[in-house]
Amino acid sequence: MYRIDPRIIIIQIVISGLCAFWIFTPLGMLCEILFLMGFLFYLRLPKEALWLGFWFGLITGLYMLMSALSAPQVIERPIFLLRKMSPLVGVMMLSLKGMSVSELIAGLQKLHFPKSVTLALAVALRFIPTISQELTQIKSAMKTRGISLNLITLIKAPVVTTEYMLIPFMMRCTKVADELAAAAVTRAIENPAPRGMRIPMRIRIKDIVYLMLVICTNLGTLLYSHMG
Amino acid sequence: MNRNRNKLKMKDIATIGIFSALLFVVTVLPGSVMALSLTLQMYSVAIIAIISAPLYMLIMAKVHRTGAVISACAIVGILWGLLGGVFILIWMVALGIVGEILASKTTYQNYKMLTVSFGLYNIAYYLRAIAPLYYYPSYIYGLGYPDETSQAFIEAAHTTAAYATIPVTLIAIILGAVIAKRLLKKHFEKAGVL
Repeated sequence: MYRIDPRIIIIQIVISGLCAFWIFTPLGMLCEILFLMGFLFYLRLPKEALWLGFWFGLITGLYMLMSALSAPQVIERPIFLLRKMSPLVGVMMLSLKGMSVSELIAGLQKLHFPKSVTLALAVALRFIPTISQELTQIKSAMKTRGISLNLITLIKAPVVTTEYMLIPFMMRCTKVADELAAAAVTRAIENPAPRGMRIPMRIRIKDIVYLMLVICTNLGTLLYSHMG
Repeated sequence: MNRNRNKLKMKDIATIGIFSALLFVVTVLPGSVMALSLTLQMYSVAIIAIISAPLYMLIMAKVHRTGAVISACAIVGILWGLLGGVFILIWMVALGIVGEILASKTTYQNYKMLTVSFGLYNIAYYLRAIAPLYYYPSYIYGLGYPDETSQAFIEAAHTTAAYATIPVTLIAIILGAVIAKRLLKKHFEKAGVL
C-alpha cells in the first residue's frame, strides 16, 4: 500500500506551488520549508528533507552575508532568487521523490486526466534523464567527423554549432519516438480498457488527515506571510 | 469514423511527449542562465522562442491531429507545475486551448496559423516570467528586496529597452518560425522524416 495516495501528493504539489508564489517574508519561507521538511520526513525521505534544510540554511546565510557586504546586484540577485525559490525546491523534491512515474501516471488517471496527456507526460518524464546521454553520443559522432561541439565553437559560430547539434538530436528523437510507440503498441497500450494497477489506490483516513494538514499549513503560512 | 482517424495515436503521443520534454528543457536552461540579470531576463523569452521554434514546429509537422497543440502546451505546463510553476501551467493550458482552436481550423496545415499558436505558447511563458512586472507590480515589492531595489526593478521594466522586449519577442517568434520552416525543409523533408 502507498504511504500516501499519489492523488493527495499531486494536490499537495499544486497547493504548495501556488502558495510558494505568494510567500514573501523570510519567516514565511522558513515556515514553508519546515512544513515541507516535515512532510518529506513523513513520506520516508529523510535525506531529501535534510538536504532541503541544508540548502535553505546555506542560501539564507549567503544572502545575509552578501547583504552585509553590500555586494553588487549581479551577485546578490541570483542568491536572492535562489532563496525565493527554496520552497519550490521542496515541491520539486515532493514531485520527483515522493512518487514514482508510474504512481504519478496512475494518480493522474484516477483524477480523470485525458489518457493522451498522461501517456505523453509519462514519455516526457522518462525521456528527460536520457537527454544528456543522447547529446554525448551526438558529440562523439561529430568528433569522429572532425567537428568538435563545445563552448568555444558555440561562441565562434553559434548558428552552425546549434544546427550541427540540434538537427541530429531532433532526428534521433523522432526515431526514439517511433521505437517507443512501437514497443508500447505491442504491449497493448492502445487498448481502450482502463489501465490496471498492481497496488490498488484508495483514499484512506490518513490521506484525508494528510491533505487537511497540507491545506492548514499552507494557508497558515500564507496568512502569516501577509498579516503576521 | 472520421473522428477516430483524427484521434492521437501512440506514435503521436510519444512524439508529443519527447518533444515537449525538449521544449521544457530548452525553456528552463536559457531562462535560468538569463535570470542573472534583469535586462537579460526580459529578453530571455525572445531567445527561447528562436531555440524552441524547430521543436514546436516538428511536433506540428509530424502530428496533425486534434489535441496536438493543447497536449504539447499542457505537458510543458505540467512539467513546470511539478517544479512549482503552477501559474505557467494555468497560462499554458488557457492559451493552448486558443492555439488548438486556431490550428485545428486549418487542420494543422497552415503555417501562419501554426506560427500564431507558437506565438501563444511563448506568450504563455512571457505572462508568467516577465509580465508580472507590469500587471502585478506589488509582487515585486513583496519579494523582500529593499524598497529602492524593488523600485529600481519596476523603473527598469518601464524603460525603452524594457518596452522594446515586446516587439523583439514578437519578431523572435516570427523569425523562429521562419528558421524552423527552413530547417524542417532542408533536413527533415529531405530525409523523408516528414
